[in-house]
Amino acid sequence: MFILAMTVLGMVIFLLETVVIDLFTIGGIKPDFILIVAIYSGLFLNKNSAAGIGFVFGLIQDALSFKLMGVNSLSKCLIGFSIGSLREKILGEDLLVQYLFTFMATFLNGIIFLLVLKGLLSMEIETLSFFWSVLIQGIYNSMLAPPIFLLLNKIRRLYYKNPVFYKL
Amino acid sequence: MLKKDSKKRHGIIVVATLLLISFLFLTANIKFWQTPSFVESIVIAVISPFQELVSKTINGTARVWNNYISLIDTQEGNYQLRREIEKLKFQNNTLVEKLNSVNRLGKLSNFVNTSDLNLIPADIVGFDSTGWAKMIMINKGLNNSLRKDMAVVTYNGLIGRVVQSTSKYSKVLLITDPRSAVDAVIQRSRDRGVVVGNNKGILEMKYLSIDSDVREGDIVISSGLGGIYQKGFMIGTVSKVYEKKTGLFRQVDIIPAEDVSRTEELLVVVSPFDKPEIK
Repeated sequence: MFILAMTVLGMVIFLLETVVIDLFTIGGIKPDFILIVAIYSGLFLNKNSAAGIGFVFGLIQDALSFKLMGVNSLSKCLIGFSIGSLREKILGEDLLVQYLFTFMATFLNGIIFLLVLKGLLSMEIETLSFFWSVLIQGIYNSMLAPPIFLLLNKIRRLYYKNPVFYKL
Repeated sequence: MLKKDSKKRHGIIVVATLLLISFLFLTANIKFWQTPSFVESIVIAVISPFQELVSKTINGTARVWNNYISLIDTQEGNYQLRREIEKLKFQNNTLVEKLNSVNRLGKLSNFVNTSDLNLIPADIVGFDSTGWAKMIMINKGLNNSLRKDMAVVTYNGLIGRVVQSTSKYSKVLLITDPRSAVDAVIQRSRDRGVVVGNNKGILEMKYLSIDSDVREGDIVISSGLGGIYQKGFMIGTVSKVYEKKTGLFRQVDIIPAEDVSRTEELLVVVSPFDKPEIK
């Protein structure tokens, strides 16, 4: 059931991210729904599940881009695991925590991306404009994350009366 | 206690393995990016049909809405279009005259002779999933004779080039991606440079001589050098010229001729020597 739920969720998110993304794009910057799911997994599931979900979804995201295999799987896996490791010390339901963690995770994701693109792939990127884009994306992701978390929690509670995700 | 420690160690090993796999993908990607990896082929085969289905449904709905439901202001639009046709007829006549004189002078080689090109129409099924790369997925692949490095255009201008193909789908790197470079000329002054993407949705022309006579509004076309893009495809219009008094080169900003987010159908330019077998 867990795998089926994740497959359906993944399909919906990837279709949102690659087909109807124009609806969500503001000033050429689009939200990273996969990152939001990785953060959700870290905040509400356990750290190993979060790392696994981050890795698999990140890898699919890389496959649907060009010449970026491994970048998102690395960053999303790391972000999911890091937030999952802190889960026992923070309150995932707290709105401020959700805003803050989403914003920081977007920045961490951006830094990993920049390091890989510049360091490994030798791409010419203007660092200042890149961070400006990351800042806007961070705010955008933070605004979208709480309602998405709420929706995912509702779906989870609908299917799992006992929070079985915690036991995985 | 011991069980908890072992579980914790087990978790760290799993995460370390996943990170190592990601790193291996990264390094393999640098060397073998030209062909889609095993993972890419599977993901495209599974997800792209759904992308195509959703994309076609959205475009179909939008078409129905535009054609049948949203008929308000049609009369006004009709009137405007008629006036536009009259204006274009006038311009066309003038241009035919000019073209005749160009023909006589034998200078037509500066334009693309579209009758020499084999064009395969393709639909966009999806956009890049990361937001950082400028790439689109189209619904034609190896089965339709598409190969790496074929140019992708619309009737308005150049879009990009095919970078990877599976049997049914292909990835197209847009000219707005920073990894894309097109050798180009300013149509009016014949000054040459290299057009690159900058991730802001506009293009930059680099290595343009400091003495070049470039002005805002100038049209930039592909020069044909490099062997990927044929000569004469419109790239865009110069929107800003950066004045420089020192150095060897100047830089200009270009607005792309075609906004890919508003385009439904693209044309893939198949080499005139490779007759496509469309399946």
